[in-house]
Amino acid sequence: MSDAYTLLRGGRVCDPAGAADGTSLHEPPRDLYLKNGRIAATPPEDARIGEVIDLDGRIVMAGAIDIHSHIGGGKVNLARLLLPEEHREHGSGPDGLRRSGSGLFTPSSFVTGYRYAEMGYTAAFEPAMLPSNARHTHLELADVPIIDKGCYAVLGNDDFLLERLAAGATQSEVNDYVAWILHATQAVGVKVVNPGGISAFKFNQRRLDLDEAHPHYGITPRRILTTLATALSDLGVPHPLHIHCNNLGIPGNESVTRDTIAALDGLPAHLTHLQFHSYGTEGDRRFSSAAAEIAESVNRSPNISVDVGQIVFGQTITASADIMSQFRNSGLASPRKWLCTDIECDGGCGLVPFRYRDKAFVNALQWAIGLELFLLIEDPWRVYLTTDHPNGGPFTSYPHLIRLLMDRSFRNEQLARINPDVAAHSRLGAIDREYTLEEIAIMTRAGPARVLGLRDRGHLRPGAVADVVVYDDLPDREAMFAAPALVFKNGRLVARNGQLTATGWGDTIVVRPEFDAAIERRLKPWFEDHQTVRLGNFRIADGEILDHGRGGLSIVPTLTASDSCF
Amino acid sequence: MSVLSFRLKGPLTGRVDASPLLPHRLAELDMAEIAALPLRHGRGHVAVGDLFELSGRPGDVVELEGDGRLDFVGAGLTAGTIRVAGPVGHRVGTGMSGGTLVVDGAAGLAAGAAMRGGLLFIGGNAGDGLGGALPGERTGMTGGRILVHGRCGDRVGERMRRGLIAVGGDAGAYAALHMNAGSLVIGGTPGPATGHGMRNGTVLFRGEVDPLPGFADCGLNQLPFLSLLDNHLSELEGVPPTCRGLTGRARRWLGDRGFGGRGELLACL
Repeated sequence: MSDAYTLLRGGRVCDPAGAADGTSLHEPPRDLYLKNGRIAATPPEDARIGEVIDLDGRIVMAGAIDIHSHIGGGKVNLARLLLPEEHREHGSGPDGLRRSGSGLFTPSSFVTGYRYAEMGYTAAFEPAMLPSNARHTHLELADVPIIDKGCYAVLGNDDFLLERLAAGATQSEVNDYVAWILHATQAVGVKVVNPGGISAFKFNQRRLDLDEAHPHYGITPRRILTTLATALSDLGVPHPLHIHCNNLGIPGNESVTRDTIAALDGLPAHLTHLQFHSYGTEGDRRFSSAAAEIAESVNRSPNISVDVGQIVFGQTITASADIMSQFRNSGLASPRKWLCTDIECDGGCGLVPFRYRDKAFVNALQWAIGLELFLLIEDPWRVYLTTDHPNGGPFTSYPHLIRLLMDRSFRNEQLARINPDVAAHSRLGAIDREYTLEEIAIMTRAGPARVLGLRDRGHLRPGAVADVVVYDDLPDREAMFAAPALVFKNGRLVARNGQLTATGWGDTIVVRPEFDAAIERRLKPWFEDHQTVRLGNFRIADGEILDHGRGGLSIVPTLTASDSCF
Repeated sequence: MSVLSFRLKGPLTGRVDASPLLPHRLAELDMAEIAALPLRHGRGHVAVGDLFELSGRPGDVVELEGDGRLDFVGAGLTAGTIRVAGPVGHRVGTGMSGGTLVVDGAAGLAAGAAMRGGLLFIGGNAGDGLGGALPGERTGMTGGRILVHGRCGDRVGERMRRGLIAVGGDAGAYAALHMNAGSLVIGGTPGPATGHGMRNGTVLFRGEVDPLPGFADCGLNQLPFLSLLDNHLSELEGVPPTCRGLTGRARRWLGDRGFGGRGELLACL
């Protein structure tokens, strides 16, 4: 490593997480020093300055972080297989810098890394890694260049947990199991998908409400939720339980969503793709927006963070572990093919290709509901930009969404173009709020970093990883965020004006809470009797990730009693 | 009529994607632009002018010197004519929707796959997947005509939905695999498992076959439509002679009943 500094001179630094030391977009431009892949404090006079880049008042932010994007693992791979035509249409050959790749809403792994980096994203998190698919997921993510990545292990429908809960397991046994899974699968958090519902589907259930007993195990989703949320809180895992609520996409599911928030009773939790869980049953079509009620509930609950799962119009594929809802939606598949599978009694996988049409009332209202959530949830620290890629649309539509949030007249123009009934049924047109650049920086960087417990990412204070993005201050925010002027990953310039200039490898981010290893005595016979892989082979060793020579492991510190997420 | 000719400068050293060499596309360019056009070549690219010597004038006819490594010839052809002297590689005429594509020699895999219209003529033999579906697709050929003078490989007419395929020689295994509709005429004998998963459509052939158990033997029939089909085939240009001269008498099997099929296999006399 060289001891020379890189100087980014005279940028307008937009760093809300570093605001405590007085940086704000409106202050005069300041200099930023990078050294050995980290942000450095202002060096002494005699220090050697290597490269100097004049920013001329351009806007500087930390690298963006996508908290919820399906970019690796069995589900994504099956989605690619289901839509070969997409890969035939969108292909790119190797060009000396890039490897070849294909796909738009199910991009191949290399393309995923390139596109994220070109958009100024330096980390993305795969939210649905089934423990039995963990090795495949990490192998696939090892092929995603440039960006950091992490995974949430999916629990809550695995037969081991449900059986133990039904048998009256103590909270500490569940804690040990959750921690063991986090270690064994190299995850950074835990996600629960339709708690109990995926398992109940296998017993012929078609929906499961929060207090409805599982037809086989007799336990309720409420019990699964609170047990898992408590486990993560007890273990000090920074990222709280990542919750995909029950009854996704069903009109009237807003009551389950609000009950879920209430059930958590102050425990920290992250509700994901909230847009799909904010539907009412009013109006002629028995489908309406409940965004206002949900937003109010979130506003009142400082323990809750959310990401939106905004939809964008056009072709995509929905890929979810929630086989119950995917089975229900399979009739809407476009093109007409779909796939649904149970995976080792561990979770599920449902794939339904989907075309969101702006003239269709339901799709157009979904679009409006997502934007209402963004605009009605007051605290940008607790609401994050996602499309639930690829479920609501590809992650490449983020710049477009940022423009919708920052530019009210543009938003209203779009509203006027879609199904006209939506404007009458939605309060979107009456909302004046426009996101500021600081708020965008919070929702795409500082906020996700904080809720994930990433202490050295998402801000530009000295010591942070030198993930830096420089934007031209364009009036068209879509153009501005689509092609950042400069993107640095670990202090290295990887993209210029939205074009890749170099490639490399990011870290795999994991969490390692302490636990009692005696849990393996219970798990071992379970693996022997029910799984296809023995316990010893199931665990993923650090070497399996490091041996690729592609980036390292970055361990998120667990929280002590005095720390708090919020 | 203006003809643009491409003569190979030497033998190809890797597979080449010739899909950009379509008459209507080249007609918009001048000769220098055509010579500079990049073609995928192995893992990299090569300019048209480095591979071919060009002569003639861009218009609605393209003449190519063939090579077994020249893939995607005429893929996506919509109008005009491409004539190839010699063999071609894989995927000739993939997804073509109009125009005429004439190959003197043999063709590789998946010739005329997902074809929607137009005429594909192959003077030699064709490989596997003739007139079939692209990988992962639910339908294969949906229109147009494919005429092959030699024999063809396995899975001819896979998931075919409309159109005509006439093969002069024998066909490989799984002819008309999962066929939905359309006509497949085989001048010689088809291989094993002909018509597996067939839901509709017609396969006509000469000689003996041993149909799958999913097919019901309907005995020897006098079918008037066969002479109408024969008239039609004799009016078309380039139909292999072995595919003509149907007498009207054929042994008929119906199936594949495992797939609710109403397709028919006709052993023509």
